Amino acid sequence: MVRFLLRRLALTIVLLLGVTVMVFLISHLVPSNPVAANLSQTALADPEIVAAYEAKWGLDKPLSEQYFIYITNIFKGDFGTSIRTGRPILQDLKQYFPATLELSLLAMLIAIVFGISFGIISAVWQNKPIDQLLRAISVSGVSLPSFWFALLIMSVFSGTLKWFPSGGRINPRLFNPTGGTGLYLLDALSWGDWGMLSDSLAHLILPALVLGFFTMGLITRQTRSNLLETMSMDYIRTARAKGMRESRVVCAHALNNALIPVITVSGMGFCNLLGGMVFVEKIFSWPGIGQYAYLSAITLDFPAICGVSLLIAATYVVINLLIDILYGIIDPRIRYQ
Amino acid sequence: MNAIKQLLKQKNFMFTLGLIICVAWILVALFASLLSPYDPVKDQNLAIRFKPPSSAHYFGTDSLGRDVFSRVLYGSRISLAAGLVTVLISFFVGLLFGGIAGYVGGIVDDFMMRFSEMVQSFPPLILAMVIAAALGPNITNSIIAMAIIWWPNYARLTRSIVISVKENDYITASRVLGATHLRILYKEILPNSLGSLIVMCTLDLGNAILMFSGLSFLGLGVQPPVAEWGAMVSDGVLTFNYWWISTFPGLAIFSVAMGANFIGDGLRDYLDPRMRRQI
Amino acid sequence: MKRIVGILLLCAFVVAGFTGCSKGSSGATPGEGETEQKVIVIGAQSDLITLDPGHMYEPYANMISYAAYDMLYRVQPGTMGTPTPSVATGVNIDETDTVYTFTLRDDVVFASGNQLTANDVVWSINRVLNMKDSNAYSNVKIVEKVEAPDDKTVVITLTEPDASFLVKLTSNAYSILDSAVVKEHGGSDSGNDTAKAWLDTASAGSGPFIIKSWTPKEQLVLEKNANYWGEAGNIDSIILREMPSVDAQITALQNGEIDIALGLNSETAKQLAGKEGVTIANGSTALMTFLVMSRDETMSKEMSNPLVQEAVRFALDYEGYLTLGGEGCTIPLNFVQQGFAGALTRKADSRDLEEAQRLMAEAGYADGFEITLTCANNNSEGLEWTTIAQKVKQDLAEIKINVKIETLETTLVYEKMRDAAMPFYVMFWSPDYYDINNQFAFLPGTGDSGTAYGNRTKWERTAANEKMWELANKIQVETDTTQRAQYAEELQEFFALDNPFAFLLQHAKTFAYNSNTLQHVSYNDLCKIELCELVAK
Repeated sequence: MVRFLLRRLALTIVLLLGVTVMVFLISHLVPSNPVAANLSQTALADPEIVAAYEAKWGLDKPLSEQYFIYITNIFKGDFGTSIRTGRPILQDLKQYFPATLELSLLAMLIAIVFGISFGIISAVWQNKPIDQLLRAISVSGVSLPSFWFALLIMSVFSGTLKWFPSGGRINPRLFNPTGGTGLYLLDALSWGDWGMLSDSLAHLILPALVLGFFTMGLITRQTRSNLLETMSMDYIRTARAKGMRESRVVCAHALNNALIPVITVSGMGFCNLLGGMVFVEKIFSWPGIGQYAYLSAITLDFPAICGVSLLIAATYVVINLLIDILYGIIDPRIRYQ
Repeated sequence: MNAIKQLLKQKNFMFTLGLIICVAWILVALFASLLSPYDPVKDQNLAIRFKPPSSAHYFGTDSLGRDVFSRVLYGSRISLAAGLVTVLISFFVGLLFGGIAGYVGGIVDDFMMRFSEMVQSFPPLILAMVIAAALGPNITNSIIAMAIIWWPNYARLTRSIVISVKENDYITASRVLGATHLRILYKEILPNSLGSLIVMCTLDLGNAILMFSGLSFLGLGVQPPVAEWGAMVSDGVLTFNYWWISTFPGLAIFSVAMGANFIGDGLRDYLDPRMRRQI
Repeated sequence: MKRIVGILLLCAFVVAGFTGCSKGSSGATPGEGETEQKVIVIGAQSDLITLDPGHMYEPYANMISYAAYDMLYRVQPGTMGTPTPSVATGVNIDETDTVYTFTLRDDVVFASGNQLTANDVVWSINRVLNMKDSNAYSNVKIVEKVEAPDDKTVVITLTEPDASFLVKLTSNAYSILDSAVVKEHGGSDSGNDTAKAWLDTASAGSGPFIIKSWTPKEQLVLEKNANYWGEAGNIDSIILREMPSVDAQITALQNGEIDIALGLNSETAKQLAGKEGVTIANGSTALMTFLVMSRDETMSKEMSNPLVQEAVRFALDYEGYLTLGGEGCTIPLNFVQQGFAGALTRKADSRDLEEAQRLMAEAGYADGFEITLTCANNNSEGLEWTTIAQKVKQDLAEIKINVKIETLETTLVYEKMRDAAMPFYVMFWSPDYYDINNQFAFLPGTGDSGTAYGNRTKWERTAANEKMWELANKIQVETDTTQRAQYAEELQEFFALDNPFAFLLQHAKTFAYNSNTLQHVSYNDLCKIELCELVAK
């Protein structure tokens, strides 16, 4: 197990280096220059300002040299400065990541809890009306375009019904949380501030629902089909033949085996969430990584793109590592080399 | 074909519904020019912009006074084709990649999987935007961008199935009996993997249509004035009070994706031999 | 079952590890004083990327710099760039028109309590003069040197006469910083300034508000300046909330979550029409949208032909663009916006297809040709450029020009524009300072001494168009407004005869506010909402 983890750690570093190389290659491929993205039209026409700007950001150096400087700095713990915001990238990421993490964890929680339970119910009552209903819901989940669904949800629940606030993380008139983890729910709990807890929860629910709905559909479907598949296997029949109660058959025998692909799908789902973030964060005014990444991309702010990519890649690696460990726990036949 | 007949015979309601939806959209795509009352591009008329649905314009008109109904009909051509092509490309690339990685194992597996993780760990929209920007935005390039993002999903699923199947006794047995690697991959593992992969494919067909419309929504898919659903939704986003501009193309995306998913569900039930016995 | 418990434990462990264990030190402090605080929330998509007045140039920059800082001259509220004395009591200009001597008020104090002196003014201007990579630098470039003979006098010497200098003085680039405070945080007036990081989170000015906190893309909090030297308003705090979705702004305004929705346009505002307690207002802007047609024959032999370019101007359905732009829009005749000296407009019904066809035939393209129209994923006050491009395609089909639309990310379009690599594209322009002098960027001229759009269109300065520069040079220094307007009119009429542009629209700003909480809301294009003029109910 220790050897397995060490090997993964080494591979992770290679992976992250690979990501930085990719960003730099792409920055070389794209026929554009951050100067155009960050200077005003007048400044852009002024050779003096353009030259000063390029010198300041090291854009006048060859790409390989820029890359070398970047990597050396990373090992010193300096991820560079965003060309667009002019702030240290680490500072930007620290600001935006908790918002995204909070939203995606809640979305994932909704997706997993509802996804797995809907899947089990569907499988146990296969082809019954409840199965048909839950399948229709799960299929809607994976069929709704999130950019459109988010708008619809907001205009109904926030606009027409006025049940929820229209966006943002918290009501700025009442709260201005500073310090803490940046995960407002957790902060509110640790400070015992119930008003803030309910306010931030109210802000979280709609975007988390929109974001989690897709993954929920994915998980429901995978759970259902895997459970049905395992339940038709011989050992389950044997268990049934022995007169075991159906609930015990499902929980103790079938579920364990059915969960393996579900875990894969959940991992993918989590990473899909980060993609869906761009739309959901924009429509719900959620100040997170999705918007930051999008804005960095369209302004070709490569140091920032690289920073975001590293962060997302690291998150992704951690999740995949967890999945691999979970495989081993659920199915002991899979051994770590 | 056999599968479809069987499924229809079984009166699988959702499958039938999905089939009807998809066949209907395919017919619409084929005969869009006959069904559309107006030209989706040329019939601009600012005098009738933002008109709500009526008998003259079933789905109302957009900001340039074009008929939303005609544009939705024409939009089906692009969405269906783009979704299908993307899934097929990703499927084959992923199958090959994941199959090899899972079966060979060891250091090869590690490298291949880390590579696929590297691609996958990239924020998909950034990757797509950068690719579309570098190659120039049009339908072909956004399909390429999507396939580049997509294949690792298939590779990972294939690999996980291959690994779990590989541990099964019958594979060990055939290896003991002297079967070649290629034979084992092709004869034993592939058929066992197909079930789950096809579920994923059909799931993804809807998914790919969604993603493509998402790219178009961001202005990275089709070039205006071509009618495409995602781009049409984005036309209506700034003016949501004229709800029909984005609602109908949104519903169109939803219905196609849903139809594809229903078919996938049904096919899955049929294709899995163990399931068939039970039904 | 044990295994499932194990998984749950593992998950809990990971979540705990993720979130870190640092305990929150300070709780939320909602309005601690029990007297009712007047807090105004503004919803907008501001695009602010810095709050350092020496770096800002974004459209919403001056909304903030005007709240937190003072300049020698300010824009008179409700006007398009008319300068009015602020910290300066007046100015004395010498006979060379290059030496400006300002006398300062003696009652101005910074939020820190420090007295504002001439040295602060000199320091602040020198600071920007030594930040050549900054967008704000283009507005201070004209300054050769700045001196303070005594505490109450500032003498600014220009490199050349400039009739628009007082207008330039009203921009954020000339904000007066509390030099003692900024120096403590790395400020320098001789290069290598490192105060930006601090100025992004706080302010060091003398305006009616101070910057309390800023989290980019989330919210900006302004608080009443307790030491304000002027007459303070009745608002305790203003929160600028980033809301990228217009729909969210509309919903939030109706629900009372925000008091002002800034991101509207005339179409989206219709959702709020007639709603109880909501007032919709208009303001005029200097934002123009236009088509650029390069004179570079290597890209398109057809499109670079001046006759074809003239034909395009005749073929466009200007009435249609007015409809698309919505209420408050106008059609500039060419490069001078309404609000600037001598601006001329085009008649909405000036489309003349016969004349356009005749010009096409004269150019030798009676059968038309194909051309790519590049259009960025961008919008002008909510009017998508793709919509404009589709209308252009339709219009030009009438004279057999087959337009192919190509959409690109805005930054890529800018890059191509800088390289003059597009034959035909949609663009917009908002001035850096509110004076006709800024518009000379549209005059012919290539190379290092050329103009922004001269280089972008490869439009050469020739003997035939030299008259433009003769007039422009007069306008540049003319201080008599009537005479200046006369020159400007003459210049526009001459410009109209031959140029590589087709100007489509000058836009209007639409916004809405909650009339139950706000009494007075005014707009000018430099500052957007005039925060200092806001009055709460």
